[in-house]
Amino acid sequence: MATLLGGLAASHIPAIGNALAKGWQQEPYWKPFFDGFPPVHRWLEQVRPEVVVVFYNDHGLNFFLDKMPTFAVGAAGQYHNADEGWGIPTLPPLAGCPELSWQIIRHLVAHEFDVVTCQEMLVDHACTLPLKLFWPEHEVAPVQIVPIDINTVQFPLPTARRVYKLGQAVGEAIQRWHSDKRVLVMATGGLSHQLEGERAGFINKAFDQQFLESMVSNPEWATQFSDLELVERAGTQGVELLMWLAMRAALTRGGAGGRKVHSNYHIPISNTATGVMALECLA
Amino acid sequence: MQDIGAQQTGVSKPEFMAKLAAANQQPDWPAAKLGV
Repeated sequence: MATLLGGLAASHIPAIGNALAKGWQQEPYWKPFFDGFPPVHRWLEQVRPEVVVVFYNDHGLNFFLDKMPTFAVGAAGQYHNADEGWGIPTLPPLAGCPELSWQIIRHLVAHEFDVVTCQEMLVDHACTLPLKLFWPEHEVAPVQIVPIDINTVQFPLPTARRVYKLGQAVGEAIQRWHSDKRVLVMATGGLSHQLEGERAGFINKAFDQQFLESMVSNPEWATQFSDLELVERAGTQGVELLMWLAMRAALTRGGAGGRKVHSNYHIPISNTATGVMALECLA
Repeated sequence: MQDIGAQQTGVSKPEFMAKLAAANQQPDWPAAKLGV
């Protein structure tokens, strides 16, 4: 069976792409953010993942507001990045893992998740930038990916409880995959931020800290909140923390427990409170 | 995004960026101080 190694999570702000392209990692504004990654790089060198399941939210590149699936799973052999209008450099295509994609899709549908399956799928900054942050020395991350898009763009959003169950089911699918591959689950997005309206610039430090702690010790904590309660606490775009919840839920099927490898929290990058975290499954 | 945020909240961009940076001064989640 496949080995579920653990989970990664990171914010996916478009400006990171510009900072990477211009080599601003040591600039005072950016350093506290980029300094959160080297401990995770060292862990990744140890555990050597081969496949990464990426929970992320599309921002209008592959799905627009006229057709917005709640959950969509990529099943392509290759995923192309494309210009979304931010002006950040387009990254090379990422290798897919159709075998795990279809394992996950079959398992999800069998467990009453009616997902959209995508045999062609463009991936945006939310998928590509965190992979670049975790494997900065590579032109393209040296892993195969299975992208899973969760709608956090257009209401109604899936509930936190539903996202948690999705993550659990994905974790089960990975563990039941007849393969010798080493698999990581990754979440991208958050933490608290709001880009528009009277609350533009909203950041909730205490909520973010409690959420990060819950990732370690009480993974179901955030499932108590409705979508609007999450918006109230984390901001309209801060609801991207649902991706972190899915990642963490996948690990609950990943072994007897989990260990925090590293985390970092920094305010602000662009308009956002940022976070990075690595969690390791304990056998 | 900071230009847009400044426009939508009726302040200058430097004021908006100062507001973002000031979020660091928000109180910690109480248990965070305890390392829970």
